Amino acid sequence: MGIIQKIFYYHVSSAWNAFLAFLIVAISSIIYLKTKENKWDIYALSSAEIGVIFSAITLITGSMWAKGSWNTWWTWDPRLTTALVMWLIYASYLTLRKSLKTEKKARLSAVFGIIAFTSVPITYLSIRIWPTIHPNLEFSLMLPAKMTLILSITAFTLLYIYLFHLRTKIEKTKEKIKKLKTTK
Amino acid sequence: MPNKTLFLAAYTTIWLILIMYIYILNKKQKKQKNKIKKLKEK
Repeated sequence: MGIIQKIFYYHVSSAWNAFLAFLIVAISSIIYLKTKENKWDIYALSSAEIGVIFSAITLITGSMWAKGSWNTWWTWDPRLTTALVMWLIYASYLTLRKSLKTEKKARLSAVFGIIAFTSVPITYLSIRIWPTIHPNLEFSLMLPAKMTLILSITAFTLLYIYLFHLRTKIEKTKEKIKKLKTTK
Repeated sequence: MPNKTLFLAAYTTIWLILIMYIYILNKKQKKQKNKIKKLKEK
């Protein structure tokens, strides 16, 4: 397969982080609905944004790998289709948040965030549920490749944590500015 | 398209997206810091 195989490490790491990010969205949304504390809404928004970016990277790198391996940029394979649907669902989550101006924005977004998470296990399990040409290498990797993959996933997860921290800081500062403006 | 070109394109795209996102976030942060400074000065 040559050098095109190396995309695998970025592709899987991005996908893993997208799933993680969307899980954080679901958890934060549930906790927000329970506690009504604004910080959980901020965590959900930040994580969704980063998740959309990582899932876009997954789709783009997957497409480039597909061109090299299958000689096509795209095919309506179950894994690819469910991954695209997942990306569209969370992109619409962000659009919904931007368009809503009501006080119920956080509550509606939290409900959407919980329901949207159903797309994640469907995407992950799609290669088990439906016949697919998408590779499934979970248990067939040689040790050096496994170690490289683990290192790559760890590095991308650290990147996710950094981006999450940065994004939540911006949202919290936004709240601070709002408070300062109302007190002046 | 040769595989090497595809790999380089994928590699470049990933880092371009991530670096742009980090750049935008940092720019937003700087803007916010200046806003807070101005509000506190008032």
